[in-house]
Amino acid sequence: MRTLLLTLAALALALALASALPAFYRTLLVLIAIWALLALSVDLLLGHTGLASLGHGAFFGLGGYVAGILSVRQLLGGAWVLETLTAVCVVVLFAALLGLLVLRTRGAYFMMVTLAVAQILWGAAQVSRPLTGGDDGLRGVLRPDVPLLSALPGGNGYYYLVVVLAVLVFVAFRFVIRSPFGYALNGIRQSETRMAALGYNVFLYKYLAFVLSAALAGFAGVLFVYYNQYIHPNALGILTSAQALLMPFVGGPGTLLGPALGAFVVILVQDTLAGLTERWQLPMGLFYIVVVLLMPRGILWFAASLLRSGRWRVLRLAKPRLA
Amino acid sequence: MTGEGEAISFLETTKLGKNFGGLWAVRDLDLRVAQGERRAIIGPNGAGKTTLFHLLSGHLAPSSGEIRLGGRAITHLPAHQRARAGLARSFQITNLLPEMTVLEMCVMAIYGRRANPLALVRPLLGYQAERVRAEQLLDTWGLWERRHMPIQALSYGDQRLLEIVVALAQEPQLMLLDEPTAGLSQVESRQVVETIKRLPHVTLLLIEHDMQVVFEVVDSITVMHQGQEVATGAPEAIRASEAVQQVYMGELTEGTE
Amino acid sequence: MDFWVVQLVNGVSYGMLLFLVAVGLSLVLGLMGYLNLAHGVFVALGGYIGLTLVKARVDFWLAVLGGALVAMLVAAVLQQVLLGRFHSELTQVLGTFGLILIMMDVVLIVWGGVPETLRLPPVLNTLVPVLEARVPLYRLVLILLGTLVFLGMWWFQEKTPYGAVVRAGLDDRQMVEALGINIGLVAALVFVFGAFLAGAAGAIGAPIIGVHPVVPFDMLLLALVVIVVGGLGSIRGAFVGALIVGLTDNLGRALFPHLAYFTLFAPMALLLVFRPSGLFGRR
Repeated sequence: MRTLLLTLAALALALALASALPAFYRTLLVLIAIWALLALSVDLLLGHTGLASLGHGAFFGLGGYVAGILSVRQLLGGAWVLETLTAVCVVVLFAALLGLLVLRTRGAYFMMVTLAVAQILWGAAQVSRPLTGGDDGLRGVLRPDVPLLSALPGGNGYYYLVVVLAVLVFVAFRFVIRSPFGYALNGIRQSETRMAALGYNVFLYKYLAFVLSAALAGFAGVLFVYYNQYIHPNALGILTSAQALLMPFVGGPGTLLGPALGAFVVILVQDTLAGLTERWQLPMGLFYIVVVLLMPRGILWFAASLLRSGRWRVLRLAKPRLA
Repeated sequence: MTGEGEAISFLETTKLGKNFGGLWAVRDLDLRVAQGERRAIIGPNGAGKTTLFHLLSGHLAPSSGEIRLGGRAITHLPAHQRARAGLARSFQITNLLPEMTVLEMCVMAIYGRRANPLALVRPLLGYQAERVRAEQLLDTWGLWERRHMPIQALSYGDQRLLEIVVALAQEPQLMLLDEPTAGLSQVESRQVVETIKRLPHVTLLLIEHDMQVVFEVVDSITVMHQGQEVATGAPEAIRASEAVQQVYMGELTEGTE
Repeated sequence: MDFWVVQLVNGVSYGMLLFLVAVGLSLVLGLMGYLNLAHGVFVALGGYIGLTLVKARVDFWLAVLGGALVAMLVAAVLQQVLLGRFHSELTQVLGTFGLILIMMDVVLIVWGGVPETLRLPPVLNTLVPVLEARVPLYRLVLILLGTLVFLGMWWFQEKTPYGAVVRAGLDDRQMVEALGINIGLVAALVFVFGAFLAGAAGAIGAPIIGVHPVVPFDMLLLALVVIVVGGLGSIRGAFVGALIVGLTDNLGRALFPHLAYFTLFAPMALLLVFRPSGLFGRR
């Protein structure tokens, strides 16, 4: 009951915030919400199960392209709910097969293999011009019409739908990490041998987490293609995957809101840089390096440590010999 | 060796062996442990004791031989299925889940026996039956006050105790304790000994270096050397055995290190 | 028949390039568990510098050397200044990815984004009869070079005391450190040498690999597939893996151009099913 009330409150708050923002910022908020879902999917594996995936662009992009192609070619008559379901099912099937192959590896190897898969899909999308539009990308995706929410400011009901869905997913995620399943994943991250000794089928749990994570990433991809009405092969490859991995890292892995916070920071930084220069990847790369060096445990931890040490710094300035 | 001849062994290994790239860590091991029996496995370092435990618990696959538990062949069962079949173990190097609280880990241990991987909705601590049992367990074994502490914040002695309690939580029929007193002070070792003595009727295999603990707690001893069994028998017989003394060449200790 | 001969020569020579690119990455990963995503950047640097030198009328082979040396230099600087500060797999990956972003923009700023072609000295274009076909001398030179490098590295690793240290480090890093040998220095040297080879491949292989901003990504992917197929931390593995990947990729592109990238996936998937640690892998 309490959860229901809190959820409704969060929804109300989110919708109010989205309504109050000027159109440009609202658009940005929706983009952040979509990336937050992708970051959350990566974190299910990273922060909770202990598997760092460099290939989530594959699921994100695959979901986006399937929904996009269905939409552009009107293969399902423009029924976007069906398009969404189909896309997510395709991603789940893909992940179910892929998981059997890649989950036999771990650590750096797992990263390598997932990265390779994402890059292969990227390459395939580039090459299959008739299907995907190749390097020009897929244009003309139709955005869903959401009459109920179109009454809100801006008239674009879809944006509000994304915000609602994002909140709901985060609430659902909270249930998952407090459930035995969530605890089992965290236990696996801490000690696989111990979990096996307690009776947990470690491979099965990793597999389920992998597929669930892929489904969420694919869902985020679908939301993205409707939002953007366009998708490019870069959504499939390392650029997307690495950014999706950076977000929970920045925000704090293994927490509920860490991925969302990370998405917020990273998108904001990227948007600001892209507004300043065409060559924004250079300072973005620097950002990656600075974050990794200075904040290996996320922004919140870093900020907290700054506050605690603030006093120390002042002391040291006052009495230099205390070094 | 054992006097009862063909009496049904609860745990039985036949020619159990493990080969690492040419080196036999365990070789030709025939073990017969009766139900409810408490057996110590002793031997110099490198005798293969922990390897034996890994083979029994399923963390290592045998190169040869068979293992039967309660008459059932478990040789090729993966570790998690052996746990569900009633086997629980502690680890020589403490292997707990550092970020979980004491209570959470105990609930996980109890839940593990019938774990449903698709349990995605109800919070772990909302599983009343498991939670109540965990709380009772912690109360019985003296960890009640620390139940909400993250395990990494516990003292080493408490962690070693928790290793045993977690094994108990799994309601095992066979318990494997790997050097439960390792690194403990006299007082803490005593606590562990008392804990083991209070254990319910359960078949127990114990790896120990502290002979005082061994003689106080077990019904029988198996001595291992270079992966093979040297002798098995009642504690007094083992103590008096010349073969065993040769194996140790003076390494037997009569107290804590 | 001559179609197949040409494909064979093309596939093997391509595989040699992949070997030069991948071997450094594989050894460093095996020695230090260090995954440097920016490895493909060394290939691109070799290509761009080589191209610039050739355009400045420098002798082709000197240009190749120049490209390799610049890549090596950049690697050495990065090693000292930056790479040692990344301590976990995750930070290595994110940090070196940041490097890719930076390098890509640097390349775009200095050279622009238009794909370039490197013109070979005419002698390398002469056609040489092989069995029933005629192949450019260039391809045969690549095969020769790759084989020489492989043999040289193999000899070094198996027959010299320095190679023995590398072998030991690949087997058990902690033991080597306990013996007082500075494995970090060894790994640094291997890293830098690997970058040299990658840069050389980028320059000499420019007609095949191309010189454009996407090279770092393409080469990274290929190197990763080679490592998955051949196994980690093994020179033989890198060589055999590279030949397999080179042949299947080349053949795949020739026979099924629309499935181009999936021909990379096939050998990798096969290995993952049957031998997840790679053909000559250590784990």
